[in-house]
Amino acid sequence: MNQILLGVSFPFVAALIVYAIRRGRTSVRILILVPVCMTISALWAIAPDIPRLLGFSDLYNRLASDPRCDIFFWHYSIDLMEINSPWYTAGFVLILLCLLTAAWRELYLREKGL
Amino acid sequence: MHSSFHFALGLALGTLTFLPAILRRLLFEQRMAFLMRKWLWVSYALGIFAIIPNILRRIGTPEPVCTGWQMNIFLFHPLINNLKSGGMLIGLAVIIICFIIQYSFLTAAIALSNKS
Repeated sequence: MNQILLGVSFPFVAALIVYAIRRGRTSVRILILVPVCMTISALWAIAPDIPRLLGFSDLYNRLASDPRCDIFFWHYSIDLMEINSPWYTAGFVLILLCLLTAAWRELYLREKGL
Repeated sequence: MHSSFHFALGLALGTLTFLPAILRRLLFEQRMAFLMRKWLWVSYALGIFAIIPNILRRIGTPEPVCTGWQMNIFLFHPLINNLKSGGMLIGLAVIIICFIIQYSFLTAAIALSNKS
């Protein structure tokens, strides 16, 4: 979960900066682009775990012991010191809430005629 | 069951409850912002409501209180815990699905408000 959270964080922070520059306004295009980028980024972060989900245990075990998997957002290093915590899920939900809030705010402002 | 599963249950309940009203408003191109706000508030509040026993456990409430039959008011929390263990991945999947549903409707409403 922490790797997914790390993965979605990069596009989210970039989107946050763009949102601040645009003074709290966004467009449908950006609202679609941001979650797509977050999904791609999250998939990149958990790429070494995908073989395990698909049943390829040998490949998964090989990747799990290969330090070069750090190109997937430090996946190997994180696995070495990983601790399970519900705060990772809470952080992920918070990011989703931020996206929903930004989208809702845009809808509200447009309906107000701003 | 993992707390994600309970949160997802509350979130899904809130998401599905409002869905017919949201669909009706969207089809008739009526203003959506206030209903959308209520939708988001209720669904996430239900999610938090469902994990109150987990929160109580974390702050040190005795275990018999957290797992007592009275805790079933929090969307059958102990009952679900007795059925099965785990559930983190399912919970996460449901959270993401609910987000996609709510976000899609919000984006569609914005696109429609653009047109009008």
